[in-house]
Amino acid sequence: MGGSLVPLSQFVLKVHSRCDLACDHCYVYEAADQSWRGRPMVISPKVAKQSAERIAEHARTHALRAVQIVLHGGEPLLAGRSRLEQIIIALRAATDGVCHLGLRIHTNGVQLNEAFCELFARHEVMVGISLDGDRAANDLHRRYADGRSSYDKVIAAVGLLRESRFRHLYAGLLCTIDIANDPVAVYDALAELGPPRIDFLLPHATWDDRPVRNAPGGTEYADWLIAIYDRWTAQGRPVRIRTFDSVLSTLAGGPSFTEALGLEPSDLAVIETDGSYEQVDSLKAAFDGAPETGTNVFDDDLDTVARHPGIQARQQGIAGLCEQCQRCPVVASCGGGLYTHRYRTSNGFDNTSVYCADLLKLIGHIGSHRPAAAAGLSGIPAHALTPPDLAALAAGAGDARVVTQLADAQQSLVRAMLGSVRQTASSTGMITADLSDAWSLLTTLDRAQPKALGTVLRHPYVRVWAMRCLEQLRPSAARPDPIPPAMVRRPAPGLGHLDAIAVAAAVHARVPAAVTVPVLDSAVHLPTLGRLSLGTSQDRPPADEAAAIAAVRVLGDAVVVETGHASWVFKTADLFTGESATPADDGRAGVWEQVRMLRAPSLQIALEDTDPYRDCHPWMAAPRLTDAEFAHWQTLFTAAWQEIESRHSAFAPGLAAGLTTLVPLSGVPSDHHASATTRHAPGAVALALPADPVTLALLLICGFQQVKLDAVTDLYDLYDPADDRMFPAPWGEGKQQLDGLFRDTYAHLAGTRFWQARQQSAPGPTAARSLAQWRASTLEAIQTLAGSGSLTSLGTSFVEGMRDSARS
Amino acid sequence: MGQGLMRSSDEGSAVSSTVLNLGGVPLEQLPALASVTEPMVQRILTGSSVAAAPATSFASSI
Repeated sequence: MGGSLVPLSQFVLKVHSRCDLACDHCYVYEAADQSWRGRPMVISPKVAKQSAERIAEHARTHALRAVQIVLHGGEPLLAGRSRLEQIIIALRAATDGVCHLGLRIHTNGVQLNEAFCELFARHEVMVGISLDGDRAANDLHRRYADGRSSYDKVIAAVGLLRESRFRHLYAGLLCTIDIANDPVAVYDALAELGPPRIDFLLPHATWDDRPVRNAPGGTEYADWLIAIYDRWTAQGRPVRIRTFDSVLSTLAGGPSFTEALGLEPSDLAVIETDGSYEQVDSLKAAFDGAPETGTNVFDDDLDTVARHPGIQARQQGIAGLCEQCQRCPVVASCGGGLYTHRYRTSNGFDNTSVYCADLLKLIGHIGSHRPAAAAGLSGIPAHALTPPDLAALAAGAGDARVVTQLADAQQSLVRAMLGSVRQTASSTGMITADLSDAWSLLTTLDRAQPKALGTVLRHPYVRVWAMRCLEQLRPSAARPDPIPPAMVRRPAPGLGHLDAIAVAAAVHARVPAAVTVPVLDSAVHLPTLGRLSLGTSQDRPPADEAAAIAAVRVLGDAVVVETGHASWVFKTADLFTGESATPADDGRAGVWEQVRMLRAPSLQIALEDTDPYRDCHPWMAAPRLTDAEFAHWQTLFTAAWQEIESRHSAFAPGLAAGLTTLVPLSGVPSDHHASATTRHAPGAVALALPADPVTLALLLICGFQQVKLDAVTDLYDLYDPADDRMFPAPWGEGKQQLDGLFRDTYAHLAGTRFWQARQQSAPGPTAARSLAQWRASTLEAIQTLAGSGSLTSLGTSFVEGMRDSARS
Repeated sequence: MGQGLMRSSDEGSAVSSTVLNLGGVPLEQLPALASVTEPMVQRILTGSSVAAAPATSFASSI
């Protein structure tokens, strides 16, 4: 077995072996194993230090990027602040420079106060709390030895964690199921406390000591969980629930997130207060001494523990399960359930779970009631990329086919957002006759002219508008990557822009239509086409502009715009071909400002300097370019594209397939090369025009990298979005959150490959120096990402692909 | 390993995402299907996701 060791990366450190509550369902004190009676109450500094060094040794030996340690009990807060801080410092000191250390503590909450929270904030320790639901549910079991309720103190503890200064420490709530409780009331009570995560635990039981049921052979636990699942999905899954997330993930071929389900190999060990290594401590429910390994931190390293037959038994995947489980159709999701729940005195763990019927029913229900299936959309596939496609993207490039797939997924998201805007507007009483007309036009075009509608829906700033509408319609919505208000230099978006989107599609299709659109910045906007500027200064829009509207009629070959007492008539073809001063019928000036196209031999993209929602980047969007300025952009763009095609051909197909829009920026210092993208404007790169085409090529490639990565992260979780820590960034003085660091690292990976290609085709000191700098900073950032401890398994693989590419 | 994307043995099997392919679903049906597409929208709005892995799989902690 020596060659097949699975390194351990999760550790439960028992810091106090007693508890201040006397919950009658506790596996530590009320179950078969009574080993706690012989343990020291509190972990000693010597055991804590040795434990920390063993963990660091193991991480070093196996080059682990991250380990997770849960401070546990008993009740860990009984160790006191001083001892806890000693332990935490010992753990941090031992692992510093070795691996990322994710620290959390799991508590019953009754002792949690401000001083503890400040300690945990100082040392970045997440806090999870046990709570069984509302007061009635919680008080069924979670009481003091004298029968007093713990509920009020726990709620106060959760209240502390919900304060903004401690909110980032709030890991979630853990609830042990009692089928006597109303499941929906329990779920509602927990959800009301705003936890980032919830999990529901089946009470520990074995075939010898079976779970409480209303009748033999029942599936009460499945029914209890199903009631919550149905409510949760009906609400749009507003909070993560680990059990349900795991089943949904495994049904889709992904990993499980809990040892209680799935076939993931166990990588967890427990260290008791006396330094004994143990297997997962739920085994205490099986028989006295069940978790023992006969090893300890002073005499044995963690490789010895990892080779223990009891731990390796839970690393065998399907081969480690009983015959009935191996034949079961839901084995990939169930994995035989929690190891402890399989125990029977006569044959050990070679059994199905004592909750087998419940797990089978629950997984079956979730499988047939996944959100798509519930609405009769079970035949609708999800967007998916193959592992080789993801690997190609991780390496930095990605061909036209892959980029087109990403763009198609973006279209699905935009369609979902449009549907949501329409539905939310209706449910909040915001629907108007104009909006109904716009929606009717959109759906007509969707049926009859899907290509024309698709042209408009692919416009990057349709999603920006939809995003802002949903934020307004749902003020409680919070984003992890908000467009800061200072960066959104637009008046509040009106739902009326939906009319502009619809009529622009009608113009593309040359289909008769009549709508009313808002006037913004003294202009009538037709997304993807341009704007009719009405002659008022953009800097001083009329005070009553919010109320200003224009009627737009598409008559096939002509488009009529009417505002106030003036009207303009355009030939439809003219809207695509150029800028023109067009007098209204009353002689009033009006200028049609077309969206101009930058053209290269194998590519044409929009130079967007008219859309009212384009100003959503860290720098200001430039005002309308003059003809001379546009000509300069065209000249540099042509030369930059030649540079890309000739020297950076790996990036050219993806750019040609997915880059649709460039937005000129202003206010960028002249010595600063700037490109910017936002996740909510897919296909668009905003930039200040540099002085030379080589730099423009670099900005295009790096900017488009972020567009690609944003599209990937719209499909998959590469990292935990709840991680709001700041990480050092090697290309600046500041720190970045994980999402920003990931985006910039991916862009720098492309920059590294850019300078590598330059060095190969046009060697020189500049290229050599740039290559060395970009590669070093990219690898440094990759190391930070890899060591963050917040990457998903997919994210870990993606980052490793990036690392391989940067090194090559 | 779950979604181990670099394994050559996986070349034929795509990694499914949480984004339904709505290209063939008529736009007019989407408001009525808002509860179905809500997780997709909410993921964009809030970043919450069913697939984000918790830091620990230890059942007695969260």
